[in-house]
Amino acid sequence: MAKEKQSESNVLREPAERSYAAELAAIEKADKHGKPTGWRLSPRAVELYILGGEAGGVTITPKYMGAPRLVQIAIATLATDRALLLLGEPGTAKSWLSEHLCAAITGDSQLLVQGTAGTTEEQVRYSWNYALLLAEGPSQRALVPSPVYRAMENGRIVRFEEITRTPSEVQDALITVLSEKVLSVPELGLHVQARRGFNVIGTANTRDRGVNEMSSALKRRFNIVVLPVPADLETEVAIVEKRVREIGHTLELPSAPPSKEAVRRVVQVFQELRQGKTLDGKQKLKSPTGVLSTAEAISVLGNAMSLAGHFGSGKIADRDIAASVLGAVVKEDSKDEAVFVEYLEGVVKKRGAEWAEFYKACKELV
Amino acid sequence: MATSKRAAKPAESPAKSPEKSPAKKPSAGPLTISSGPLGRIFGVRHLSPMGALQLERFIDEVEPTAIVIEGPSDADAMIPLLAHKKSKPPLAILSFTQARPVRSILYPLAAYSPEWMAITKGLQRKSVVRFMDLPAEAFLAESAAKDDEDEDAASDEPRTDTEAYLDDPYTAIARVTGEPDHDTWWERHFEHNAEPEAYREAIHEFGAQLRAVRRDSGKRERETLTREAYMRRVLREVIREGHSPDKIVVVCGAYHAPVLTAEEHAMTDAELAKLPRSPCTHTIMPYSYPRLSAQSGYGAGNNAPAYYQVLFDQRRAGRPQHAGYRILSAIAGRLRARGNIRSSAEVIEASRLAHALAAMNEGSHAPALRDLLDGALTCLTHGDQALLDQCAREVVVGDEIGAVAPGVARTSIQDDFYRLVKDLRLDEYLKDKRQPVKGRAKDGKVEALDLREDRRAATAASALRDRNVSIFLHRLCALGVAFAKLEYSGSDVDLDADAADAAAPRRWSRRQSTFKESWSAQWTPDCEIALVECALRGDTVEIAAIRALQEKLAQATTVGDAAQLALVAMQCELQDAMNAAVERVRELGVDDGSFASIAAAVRRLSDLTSYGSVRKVDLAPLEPLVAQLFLRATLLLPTSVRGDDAAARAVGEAMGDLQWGALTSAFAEKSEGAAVFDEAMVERWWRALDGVADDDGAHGFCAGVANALLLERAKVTDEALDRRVALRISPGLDPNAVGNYFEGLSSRNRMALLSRKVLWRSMTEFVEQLEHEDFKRSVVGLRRAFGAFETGEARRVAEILTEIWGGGSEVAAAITGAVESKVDAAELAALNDDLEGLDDLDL
Repeated sequence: MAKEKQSESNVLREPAERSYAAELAAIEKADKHGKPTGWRLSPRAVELYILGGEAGGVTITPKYMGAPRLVQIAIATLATDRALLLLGEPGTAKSWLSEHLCAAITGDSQLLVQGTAGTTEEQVRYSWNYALLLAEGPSQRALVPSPVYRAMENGRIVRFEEITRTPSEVQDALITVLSEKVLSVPELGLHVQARRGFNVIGTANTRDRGVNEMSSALKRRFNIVVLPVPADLETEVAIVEKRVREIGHTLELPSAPPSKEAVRRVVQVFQELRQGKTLDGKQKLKSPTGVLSTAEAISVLGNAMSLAGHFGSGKIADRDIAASVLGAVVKEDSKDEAVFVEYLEGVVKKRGAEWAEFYKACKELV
Repeated sequence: MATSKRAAKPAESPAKSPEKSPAKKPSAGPLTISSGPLGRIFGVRHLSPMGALQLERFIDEVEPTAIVIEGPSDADAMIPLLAHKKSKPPLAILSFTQARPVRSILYPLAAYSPEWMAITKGLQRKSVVRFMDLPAEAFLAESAAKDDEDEDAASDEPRTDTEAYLDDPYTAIARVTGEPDHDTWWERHFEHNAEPEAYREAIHEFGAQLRAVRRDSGKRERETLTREAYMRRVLREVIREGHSPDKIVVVCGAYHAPVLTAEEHAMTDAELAKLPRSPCTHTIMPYSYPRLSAQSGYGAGNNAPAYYQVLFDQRRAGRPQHAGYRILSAIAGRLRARGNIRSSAEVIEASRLAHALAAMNEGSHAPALRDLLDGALTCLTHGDQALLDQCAREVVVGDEIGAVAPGVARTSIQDDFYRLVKDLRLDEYLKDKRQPVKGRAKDGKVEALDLREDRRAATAASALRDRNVSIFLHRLCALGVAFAKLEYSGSDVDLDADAADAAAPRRWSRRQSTFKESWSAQWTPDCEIALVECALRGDTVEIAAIRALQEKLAQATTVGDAAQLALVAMQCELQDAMNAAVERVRELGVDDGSFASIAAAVRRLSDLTSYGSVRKVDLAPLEPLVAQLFLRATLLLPTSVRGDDAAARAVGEAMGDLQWGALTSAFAEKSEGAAVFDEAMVERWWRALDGVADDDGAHGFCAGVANALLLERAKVTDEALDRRVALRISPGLDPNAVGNYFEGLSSRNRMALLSRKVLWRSMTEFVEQLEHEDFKRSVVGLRRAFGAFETGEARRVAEILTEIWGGGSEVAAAITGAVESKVDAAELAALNDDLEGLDDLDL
């Protein structure tokens, strides 16, 4: 294991099953509950892996924070033969959660179809090695299976990212796969029947719903779980802090991770603007039109770290944060600037000394 | 409010059980008993379907001669009324003190309450059915004493039993088992286990442990012990009457069950005599599912009455698994009724998911409500929580209302009403004939109420009698009880005719003086009915009025509506409701992007300040709100001034309102030094006005008003003003725009304009260069602007023009004549049509 780690240390990002291999092994060892056919872990053990805890003396880090019940629903869904669709605003850890679910359930999170406007039906079903096809005619050898095909054959879970970005006719190729659990190759007179354990996790963006709305026939075959934006400050601070530290580490940024106060401040600004009210609930605010996701809070701080590291003192100051925050808030519509000013004047200014620097830094920009 | 909190009392702790096996203990004898339980004790959680069903079986098995229930023992007379053929649960026994202040306790019962089962079953079997808890008389007297004693201590001790019930051990159990709340834990472990005896035994374990860890404050503990001693006394009485303890079924909250034994001390006669008492009236009132559920703000219920009813019905019909199907189908039905297509296949999937979720919990027998709702969320509403909440509320909470057999006593709000009528000496108006309400003040020939304190009055009550009458009548209006009607208030009447109807929007004038009100009153049967309907809102006129205002607030959609409700709340002197209304103004203000409506709200809120001295209402909460709205209006201003004529006119007028409301009203005066508006904020406003005045794209009228407002506060230099006027009123511009600008500019503080020659010179130049057609077009606008001038001001204009034009007195006279002739709107319209005829106008 140590060897493997060394040899791959240059990889920018490892798949979940490899970066958390030790945790998965420990859980598997301690797992005493019944496993559905084709599953590497029992549903409860999967839950433990995602939500964190302790197994056989090994600490399991939480992979997803904030909505344990949704994780339960997602796992319970996968344990039936229903497909799972994770919906949410951009940056709500949909892909992150789907990757970890696959890693825990089947030990393979790499069967992936990335949905784009250019995704074709072949990428969902199968395509051909045309040289062979011309030379030999249709044959097993000439057939290039898609990730869906391979998942069915092996009883694995396939991830379909950004499902609503693909044209509807491509989406509909999934319908038979999901209801009949069969993929037919008429050229070979072949019917690939899904083995137990096969399932699909789709993700879709709520902001993109209008791009290619899923047909109700397809929608009906999914259980839909909507991932929320973190509702409370502590959860989001924990998420942001963890991820910012990880990013700073992988990107080798020459700056100390932001202080707890800095993280808290950014997250608080994001939450208050997103929810349209102050944290104490005493004052209602106007929300900007753009999305203010947790992922953006993470990138704001990452950016600030980079700024401070390369051009500043190496310690994150409020000026480093202010510019990125403003950029994140005022993104699509100039009216958002008025929203931000109102927030600055109406809320931040009154917060006293702790926020004074931040207020001043922002004030210079607007 | 305290009274309604007491209502939570009976629903207190859940079950727990008595001794290990009461059934096998032999009784000591027919008359007395020296050891063991004082009956066959059945611990329950109030409002528990499985408890009711198991109790039913238990009663059949024991065949009791007496059934004794935890309930106020002085309300025994209510038992037959409850079981009356025409009564239909949910019902509540309501006990309230005969003296003021009224305190009350509610004992709510649903069809699936074990207590309800005990009553109906017992009467059916012709057993003796009695209540055994402390009499409500003693309870209310004690709680009154307690409240007087330590208002402070009350805050660190849980306010209601329900809160206590949800406190430590309960949430701790839920946490340990991974459930979100106690209700779900309870449902999972108690409501679905139909094994005979399982309920009693499980509840016994639960209860015994609970009693061991329970850490109540001394006061609450003492109260509980007193109640339990009393219960034992009643049980001993029942035994003495000849019932064998083996044939007495005792239904009580689980917490009390272990101690209802012969070994424990029963209350003696002397102790009984020492109990404080305050005489009570008992009645039965219809209860409703929404009120039973926690959502109604009362702790005495469970959160899903309709769901529990379905559980109860289906299990009784022998098909418990149907409960979940029914709930999911009902939710799908609601979704379909709202226009969403949902297939049966989706209901099936939801049900499968609910079962899968239940299976992830140890000890699950069937999906709990939470599993069903999560299944519905995922498969039926596709993750849309808001949609589910709308549909599920109807299905799991329901809207059923109980019915009371005719002939049962008055509701407490009626009692409160009649008591107030008597106290305020309004008895003479209880006639079906409209008569004016007499007060201290004379206003012409009409008598009116004088809201100020009468310093010559002998007693405090009579000094404020008029004001109290006014508050009382305003509250009735807010409740929709059409007893009295506000004819007018103050000397400047500016109310719609039907001002007494609080729901109807009132027009309000800031000139209104606020210490005189004239009312008329008439009592009709409709009033009585309306009053009874208010019973569900609260037990007193005050509480019901608060609730009524809350309901209206929830429906208010505009800042104006909410500000109006703030005013009503102020007239009713309900500080909390007013604060809530102000809060609502704040919320609506955020989403309201219209400059005009925000400005109107600022204006209306500042109008409230004119009440300050007469009404005892604290205006402090308004200050930050007004400041916030002011800031937001300021930010909205630059983009709001570019609309068409109609919009610009509204915005221009609103600008004036805003400045008045924010900077001239009592807020501004009061806040000097107190920083309601800090300097930066006001500065921002001046800058915004400056921006508008300089903005070429801004509508002429708004730009004019902006200048006028700046001029009014001397915030514009002469040079700047001259430059702007020259720019806006100069030859070659669109005559309409110039007319609008001039109108805006002259809308305020015209005296300041009169001294500015540059204005009039610009006007002259502009008018002189106009082509004939353009001139005709501009005349209308200019006449309208001048129409608003006072005669004296018009004369000054004439003088100035004479000076500029250099004519003699003849010219002066002609101009004066022309300027002084007033025109009204109708004439202006006619003028517009008759433009041809203007050729001979000698200007």
